[in-house]
Amino acid sequence: MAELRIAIIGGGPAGLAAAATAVDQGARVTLIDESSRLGGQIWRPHLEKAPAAARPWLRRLRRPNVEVRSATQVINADVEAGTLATRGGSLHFDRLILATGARELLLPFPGWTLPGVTGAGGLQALVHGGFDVSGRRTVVAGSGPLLLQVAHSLKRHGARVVRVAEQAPWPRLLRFGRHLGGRRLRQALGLATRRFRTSSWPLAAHGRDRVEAVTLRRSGRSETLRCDALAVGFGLVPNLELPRLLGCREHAGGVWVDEHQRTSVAQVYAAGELTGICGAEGALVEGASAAHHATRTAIPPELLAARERERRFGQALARSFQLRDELRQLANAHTLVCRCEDVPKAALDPQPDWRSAKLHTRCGMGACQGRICGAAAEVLFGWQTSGSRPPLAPVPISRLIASSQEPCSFSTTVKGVNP
Amino acid sequence: MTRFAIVGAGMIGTAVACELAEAGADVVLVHDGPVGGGATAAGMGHLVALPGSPGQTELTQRSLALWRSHSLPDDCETLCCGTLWVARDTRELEELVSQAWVLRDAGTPAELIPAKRLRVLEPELRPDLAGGLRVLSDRAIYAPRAAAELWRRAHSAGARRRQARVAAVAAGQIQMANGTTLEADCVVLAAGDRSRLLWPQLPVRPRKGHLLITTRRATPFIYHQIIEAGYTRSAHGRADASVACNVQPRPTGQVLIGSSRQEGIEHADVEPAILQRMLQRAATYLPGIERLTALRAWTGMRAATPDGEPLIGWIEDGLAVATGHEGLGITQAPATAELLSQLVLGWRPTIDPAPYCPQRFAAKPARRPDPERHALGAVP
Amino acid sequence: MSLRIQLWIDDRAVSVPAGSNVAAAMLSLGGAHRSVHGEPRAPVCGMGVCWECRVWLDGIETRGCLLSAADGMRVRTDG
Repeated sequence: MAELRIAIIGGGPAGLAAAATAVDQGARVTLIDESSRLGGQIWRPHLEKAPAAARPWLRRLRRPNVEVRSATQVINADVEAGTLATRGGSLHFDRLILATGARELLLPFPGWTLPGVTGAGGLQALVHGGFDVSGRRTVVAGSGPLLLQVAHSLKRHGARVVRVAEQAPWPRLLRFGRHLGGRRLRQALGLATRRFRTSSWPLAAHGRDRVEAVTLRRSGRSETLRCDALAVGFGLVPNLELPRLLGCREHAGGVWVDEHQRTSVAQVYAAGELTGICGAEGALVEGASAAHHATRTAIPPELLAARERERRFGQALARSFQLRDELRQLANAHTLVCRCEDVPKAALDPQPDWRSAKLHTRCGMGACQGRICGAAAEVLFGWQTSGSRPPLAPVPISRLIASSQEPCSFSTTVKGVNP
Repeated sequence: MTRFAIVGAGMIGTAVACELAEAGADVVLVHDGPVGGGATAAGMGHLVALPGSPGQTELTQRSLALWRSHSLPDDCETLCCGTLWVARDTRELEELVSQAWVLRDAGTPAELIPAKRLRVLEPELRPDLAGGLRVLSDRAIYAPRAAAELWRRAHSAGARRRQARVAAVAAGQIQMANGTTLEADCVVLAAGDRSRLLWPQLPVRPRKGHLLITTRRATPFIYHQIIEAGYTRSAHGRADASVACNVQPRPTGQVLIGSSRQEGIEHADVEPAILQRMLQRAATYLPGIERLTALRAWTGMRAATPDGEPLIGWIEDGLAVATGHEGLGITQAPATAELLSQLVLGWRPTIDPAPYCPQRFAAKPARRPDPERHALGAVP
Repeated sequence: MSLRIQLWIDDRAVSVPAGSNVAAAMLSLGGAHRSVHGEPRAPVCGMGVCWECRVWLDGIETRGCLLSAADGMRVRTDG
């Protein structure tokens, strides 16, 4: 059989491990990522410098059989035809590995649309992108292990982190700590800060043209802190747009996969946060497993065992950082839920479901296509978002006109790279 | 009091519900999914004086007059953009001249625009067009909200609704997928192209259309709804797949781009090849469209009939229909609702119902419903 | 001290380290653009999801967080 062409969407840990494994097994790999540099969110380069953890994986991709298409947005996929359409051109594949990762869950609260209020991982990403946070009074809030990591990283970049507010209660975190085991627990303790508070969450951000202060709930009372930056993230939600377009079955908020990382759609695999949030180590394992199966090589037993371990870690993560009901009540009638179209919560209250909300209030109809407000609406109203259609992301019309039926052939695009 | 059960909460179903309820009838609207969530949401919401057969023209003119008498709330996003029909060559220009006379005869002012003035009105149009025809009274609305508004009016006039998937209809009875039934003196089928799933003999088939909307822009791209003169041929044509330039400005600063027509396609998937042809066509007339950002594309099913006229009236005793409007459902909804209500209530119709008689395709003339019996519907 | 570059966002000059992206530059301006109802807004997610950093470069709309800043670059937030 001719060389197997594997397309991998997403250049975070899962995608990198999948690419490195697949090329080791003799496949031709195209790795596609939206960002201009590989690494995903967790291994996002600072300015142009990749973090140490990512470098060995990046080195493994410097091979003639790997083509990296960075700064490339997938706008459509057709599994039967084996084609992917991107903002820059098309390509053919025999197997597709989805590793599109996760985004932050942002929940609306009064003032959350003020400039200077960002995601938690969002602020870290912006700092890595060149935003100067030094000297800024910063409050980090929300939920999940990411908060301490973000706070730590912001401090290293000169921020004055005045509070880290975790909504989960202390006993749950202790139980989670026991689950972490030696190495991870030591890592977590290394991030500990005396600014850390549990059972604490943002009630409102204040300011005229930008955030100037935040009021946090804390043991039945509230505290108001002056700040120049408020970084809030309530955990992660998988990026399901592409698997939904392909019709992949879902399970427990992520893409359903079997133990070989196969989705319900033939020739399509999913790996990493997409299949359930369990962190970078789980993502590496799943990415490698997917590539093994896609290249018809047996998945090494140690990977299968590690996969089980990381899945249990993911379950502990979900249990420990479960969102409290109070967070559903943060938005008042005037609080905007859809920030693209400025739709307030009051407009959504009478709507019976997500589709009606979209049709009758414009919620989710803006540029982000409901990626932010849809996830929030699932939490606030218990609605189910669904379905996606091409184009998966806004794209110049010239690109849709140029999208000929003839994808550029694989051999042409790698010619320049071949030795 | 006669009880009417209307199947379908699109523009037609809600308009019929509103008309009957405001006439004092007992109305139940049966639907699943959001109000205005089918073809109503998929279309452009263009209230357009589209010239066609004398029958079409009469229904359209009556309907546009009724639309003007409705005062729609702000969230219906009414935009008085008019329509600018554009001709590529002298042959198309001649078509527009005769179109102008048809419209003027029907009472709609229509202004021929010389080639030179086209680009004054619409700077994004290509420079070598032959001329145009402007119909200033045409408007665009956001149809799902308009349907919601008509349902609100129906509801305040006493109409109720049942949210359930309909499995089958018969004279005087609706069967739901969940096993329950609803009895009524008269069932009105207004479920667009899906009506044929409930009444297979109905001469309606789906004509799939694609649309695409851009992201918002701060400055308007166009000021009128711009349609190529050949659109009417495409709309009434019988080709397996056709595209025509039909581009609408939205009050949000977005641009809504159409249109396509496909026969015999049952699946609602967005088809990149059709989208590509449709956009190419639009870019032929408005080259600058290539710079705009595509935000979202979708499809919808028009309910088409063999002769292009809608089906409005009795199918048999206890079962009436209002569908088959192809691309004109929004435009023709108020007059359709008025006519259907008059027929089922046994009132004298404002316009001649013959061109829309659902029985017109039958080999032999169908039995006419007994006017006495249907006069039961008359409101005391 | 790393090399710095200067770009213009709606004619406001902003200086950022070389290798930065446009969203980082927008956030350092505070409210870089206005929402559909005129509220000031700035980048939020930093990772290509929220579109609060949408800008037009040479007439083409794109996301500032996925766009590398270049010295002398001019972008607009209003199309």
